[in-house]
Amino acid sequence: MGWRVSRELVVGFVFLGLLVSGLMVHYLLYSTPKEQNIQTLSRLTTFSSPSLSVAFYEPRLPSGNAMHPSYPSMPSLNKRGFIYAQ
Amino acid sequence: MHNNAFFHFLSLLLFKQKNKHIGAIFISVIIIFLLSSVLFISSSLQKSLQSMLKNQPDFTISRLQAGRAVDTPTEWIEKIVQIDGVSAVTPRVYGRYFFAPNENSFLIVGVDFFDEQSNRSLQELMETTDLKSFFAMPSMLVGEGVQKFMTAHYYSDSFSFKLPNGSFKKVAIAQQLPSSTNLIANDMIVMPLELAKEIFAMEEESITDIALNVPNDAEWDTIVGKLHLLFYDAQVIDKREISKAYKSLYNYKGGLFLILYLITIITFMLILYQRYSMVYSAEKKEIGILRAIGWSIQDILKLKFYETLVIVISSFILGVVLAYIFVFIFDAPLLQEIFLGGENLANSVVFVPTIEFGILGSLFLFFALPFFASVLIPVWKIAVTPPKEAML
Repeated sequence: MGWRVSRELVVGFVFLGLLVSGLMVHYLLYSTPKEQNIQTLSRLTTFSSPSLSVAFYEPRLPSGNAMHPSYPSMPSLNKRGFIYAQ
Repeated sequence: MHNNAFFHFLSLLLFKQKNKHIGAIFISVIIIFLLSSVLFISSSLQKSLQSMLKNQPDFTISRLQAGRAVDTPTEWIEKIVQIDGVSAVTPRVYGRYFFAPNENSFLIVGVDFFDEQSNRSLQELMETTDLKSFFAMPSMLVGEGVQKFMTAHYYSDSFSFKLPNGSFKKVAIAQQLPSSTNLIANDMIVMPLELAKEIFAMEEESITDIALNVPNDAEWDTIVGKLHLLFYDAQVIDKREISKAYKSLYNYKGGLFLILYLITIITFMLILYQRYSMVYSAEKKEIGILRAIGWSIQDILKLKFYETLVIVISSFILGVVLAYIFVFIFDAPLLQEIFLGGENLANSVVFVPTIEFGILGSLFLFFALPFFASVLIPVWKIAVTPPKEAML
């Protein structure tokens, strides 16, 4: 005896299946030229940090995080040490 | 109970009572959609940045004076080159140029275009512009954000930089950097090294910092020690610190959303629990009827389990697929501003599809388990009571 389920349920699952397969196709076939441009620029400028438009975070400019062991100085104020324990 | 009849009944029941389930599915889809979008953005940015970090020099060294980074003397380069195990020692000139009227700023990066590698990269980026005309006069490449800003301020072909001595330096805009590089280049201006030095009024023998590579990872700590012995006023930053900074930055923002998610999911689960355990709820009556016609407790739990499973799976798939489309096809309008900020120049980036299946799996568990618990526990409580009492 065959399985009997309502037509709507079958249609629903087929629809979900199609959505998942569409997602996987896009994920696997996504072309990389867009990525290559950014790699080329990063190679040219030797900068890889994000262009964040945020005043408190500027990783591209010297941060003062790495201190000289024999010449310590005060850490800069734009660090998030208050969120993450060092 | 025969499986076939059971599933037929289940599928009929699901669509008969679809109005009852649509609300739960709708809220679940929104919760999953929001959290997946944030996770997709965060993992995509982290992946892009970590992959770019491969092109980043292993160390950067700059001079400190009174706790502040100051210009580094070029003579340091000769001393660094002599350290065994060090390669690709290159001077870097960069800094922020502030456009005072609007309190906006650009990141100017000076590049030595006479270096063979840099020249090749420049050619790859400048598909439309002639290199000869680029070098014929002071020219620069600008990021999309900078281009838009300059055009809005009537500097469509060239920009006049105000130098520290009060004079102006006119620099032609050769080309806009491709939009796909916005993630790092939105506020960036790339120009020849000497021109950047002129704009920052740096001395002939000064640079911002020195980048260097140490191909053998095992030597990294030794080299840092040697650098510190050579220069007592030096600050050495290595690539590992930058990598950590990226991870913590996006984990921090993703974490905020995770907290919001937990609050939302707990609230939602409480509502669901309440719906089933209410004294006069329709669910209670329905379970009572099923028990009265001979269904066992196990059958009822099985029915509710499969019913919930269908709701959970459909909501999860819909939420994740919608989030994927929103982030990787429409580039997450509005939400991306939380990650990129909008204080300086508005940015708009292209997200490279990245799915972390482990995180998605955990998200499914964190969503499905409380969902099942908040449905099955009250259902079991009703099912074990006598049908007559349950239908009251």
